[in-house]
Amino acid sequence: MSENNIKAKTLTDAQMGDKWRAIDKMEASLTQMPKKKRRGGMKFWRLFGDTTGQIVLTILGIIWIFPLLYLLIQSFRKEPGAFSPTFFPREWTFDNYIRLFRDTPFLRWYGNTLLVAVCSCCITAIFVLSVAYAFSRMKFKARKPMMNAMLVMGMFPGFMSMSAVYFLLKILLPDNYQSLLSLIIVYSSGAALGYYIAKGFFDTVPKALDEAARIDGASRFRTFYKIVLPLSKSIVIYTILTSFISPWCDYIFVSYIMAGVPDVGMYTVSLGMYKWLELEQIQQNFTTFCAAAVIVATPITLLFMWLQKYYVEGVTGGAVKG
Amino acid sequence: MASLSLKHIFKVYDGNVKAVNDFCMDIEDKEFIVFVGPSGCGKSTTLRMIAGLEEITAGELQIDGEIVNDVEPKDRNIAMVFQNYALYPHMSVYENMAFALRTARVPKDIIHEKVTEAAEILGITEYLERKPKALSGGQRQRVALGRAIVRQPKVFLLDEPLSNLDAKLRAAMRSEISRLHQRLGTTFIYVTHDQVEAMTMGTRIVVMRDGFVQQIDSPMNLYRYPDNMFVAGFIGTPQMNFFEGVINKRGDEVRFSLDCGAAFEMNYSFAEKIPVKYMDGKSKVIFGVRPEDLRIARPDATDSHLWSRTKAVVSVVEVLGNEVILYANLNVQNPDDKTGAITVKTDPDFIVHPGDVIDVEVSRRKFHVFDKETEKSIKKRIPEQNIVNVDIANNTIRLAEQSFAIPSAIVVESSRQNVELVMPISALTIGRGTAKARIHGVEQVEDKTLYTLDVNGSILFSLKDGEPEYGVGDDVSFDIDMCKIAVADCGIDPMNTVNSIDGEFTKSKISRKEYQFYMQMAGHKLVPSVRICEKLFGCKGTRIFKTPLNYSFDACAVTAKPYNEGDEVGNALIGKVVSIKDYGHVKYATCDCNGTQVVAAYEGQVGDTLALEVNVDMVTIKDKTIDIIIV
Repeated sequence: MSENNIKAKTLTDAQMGDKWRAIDKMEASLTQMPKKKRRGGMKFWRLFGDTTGQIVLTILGIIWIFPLLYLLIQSFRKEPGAFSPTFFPREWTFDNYIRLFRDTPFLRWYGNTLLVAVCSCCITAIFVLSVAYAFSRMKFKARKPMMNAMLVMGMFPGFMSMSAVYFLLKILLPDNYQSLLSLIIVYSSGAALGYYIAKGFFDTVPKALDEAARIDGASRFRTFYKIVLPLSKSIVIYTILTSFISPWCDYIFVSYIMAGVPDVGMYTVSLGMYKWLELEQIQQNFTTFCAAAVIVATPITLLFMWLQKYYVEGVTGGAVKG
Repeated sequence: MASLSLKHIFKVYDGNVKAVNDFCMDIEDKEFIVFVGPSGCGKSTTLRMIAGLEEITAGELQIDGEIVNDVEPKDRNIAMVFQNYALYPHMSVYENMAFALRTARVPKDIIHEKVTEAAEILGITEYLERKPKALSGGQRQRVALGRAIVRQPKVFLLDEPLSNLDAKLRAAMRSEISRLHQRLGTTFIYVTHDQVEAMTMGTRIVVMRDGFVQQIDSPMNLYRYPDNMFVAGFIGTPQMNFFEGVINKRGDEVRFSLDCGAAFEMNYSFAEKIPVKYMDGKSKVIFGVRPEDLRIARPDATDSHLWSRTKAVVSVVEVLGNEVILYANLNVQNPDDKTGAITVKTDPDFIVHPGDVIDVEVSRRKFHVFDKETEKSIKKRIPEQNIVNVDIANNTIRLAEQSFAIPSAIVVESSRQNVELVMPISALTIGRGTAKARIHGVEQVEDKTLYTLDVNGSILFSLKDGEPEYGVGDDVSFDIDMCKIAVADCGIDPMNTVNSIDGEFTKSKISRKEYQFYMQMAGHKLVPSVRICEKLFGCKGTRIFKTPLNYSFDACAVTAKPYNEGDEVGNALIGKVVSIKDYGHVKYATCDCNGTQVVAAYEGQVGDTLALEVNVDMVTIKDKTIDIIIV
């Protein structure tokens, strides 16, 4: 009985092996054959897709670059006036820039804006990162309700609270509520509401690192700035950039808080430059306005170009497996 | 340099999910402890509680005699190696290893010395300037070990450190970690789900399942004497064979009849540790035998009296070179019967083919029997109970022709013949008393000696501390502690000396800022010690006042004194003696305290009013809502 059985078994085993081999061959032919066919089709579709994509992108690029180019060119136009019949100026000049710094308080405004932007940028970045880290790592009772409440509050546009902010400032700084200090307060005090993106990033930094640091004797703060922050360069850069740009470009709050201030020297660039575009001034100041706009855009562009490499850099490699 | 003590450790998540249940263990200095179990069994949670990364819900953790429940991880003098390495990716290997020392502001030259020494031990000197990204998995894990070494901790905690490495590397690193343990001479606690790692590395192994400790023992003892089916199945590859069946005892012969149709027979002397009550031919048991404790019968064997024989039909043969593993079935008629599947490990001299019918022999010394309901071993190395048939008449118990007087505490209404007497093994003491027995077997179990006594044919066990004092064949006297015996048929119960009283924890204001706390039970208020208050608040916070509690304490924690109205008493319950049980050497009084029964040792009369002073430090306090021991 057993001998027959063995023979039967070995035969079936051999057959099974052959079947597997047959499946292998089939699989190989399946993966090869359509590949050849597909390649031809793929090539056409890829080319078609690429071309259409490139065309659409080029058109969009032109649309986007046009206003910037127009602004740059207008800043070098010699003839005054807001409306010019030609796209390129008839005569090129640097006078607009010279006038900007010599005859207008632009430099003063620029300094004001820089001061406000840098101060509120620092405060905002510290607020946002600390709040995000706390929400990401600490477990406390009010954590979830607080996160939800902050998220909902952050959804309302800031300028809705403008009049309330104005009265609050009046109480807080009764003597000089129309000052750069109040601007810094306004821009940075609500900053923590924007914790969400940074928290999401901190969540991706493995908690095991925090635990390892905790066992190594590091305090919460030391863990934060020695371990987590260096690993979160990109989100730190992102936070700094966004918190610099918003006060740098803001018009709404500054126009409201500084409304009726007779001293032009207190203005920021956006407020001062907007005044140039009022009907009675636009004819004479338009080209200067363009020059000023170029100067305003420069630092942000430079900042972005300098920091953009951190945006894409992956920094967590080798921390943990997987 | 460090001993650890875990006392009734519990971990409860979100109020009711118990991750770790009543973990008790003492770890000696320089031990290599391995926590092993399937994933989700609570082993990592326990390790993290030792590390201080998880809060301990209830229980006490001591390192070197000092309670560290609320001590920060860095101050516990421990180091931990994580499963996924947890290296700081932006720092070089050197900086990674130096981080803890820099945080502790150790001088630079000492840091350098320690880091280079650790790197030397681990063979990573040439990588010190590299970032973790540029290292292989094995190297990264060594850096993680190095980071732990430089701190010179008292306890090393390793959380599945090898599970991310490939098999070959794992085997190599296993022996290296063992060597590191010897080299450093510190206590190691190692978590793994791999039983090979556990068996090869640990001096003692803790097997866990679903948050419960299944067994704590040395690798060899776990293998030889598993406490339950889970441990038996978890340790050893291929897995232990299990068969359902019943046991029959006829005279000196014991027959194991398995559900698949097979049967083994053997002399009672091989099965004397199995309680006789399982040998009625009805109680379902699980018979377990390891593949390596089976063999194919050979005609020339000289030791066949140690083996029981049965037939099996082979279905698959796996030749591994040094050994052959046979997958067979004990049900020769129906080889597809799943209940009869058996795995046999044998040496490769036997040429067997699928379909062959072979004679399989089971070692009579190395088989296991488990209760089917509880899955617990009923053939333990140290039996828990002595179960014998006795006659009861005229206030004497006749046990195998020996007489024992029944104390007045036990009331026997009628005489009975041949009833089953159950007593814990600790109730039988040899070397005193009047009854006589002959020593039938002596077995040393660690620092204790287990004696098997032959009392005119009945087998009884007794456990004694220390080295063997008697030899096989010696005649000894023995005595039975009547407080502990139970005869179900006559209504004789062992004396319950544990008082278990439900109550609560209350407070009252004594001044504007001060409160006095009370353990309220049986209508009385006892003043707790500071330690108790700390533990209760530490576990439950102010919710403790709303939590129903259970207080339990042994009669020996109670001091009973006569009480007269107006007497000054300390921490005491007042009660009236309802009954007194006289066991001869000790008398227990049952008192009624506002409707609750409290037992205490007392020499007096029924009707006396007593002040029962309770030693509060011997009270165990349980949270009744989730059933965890807080104190």
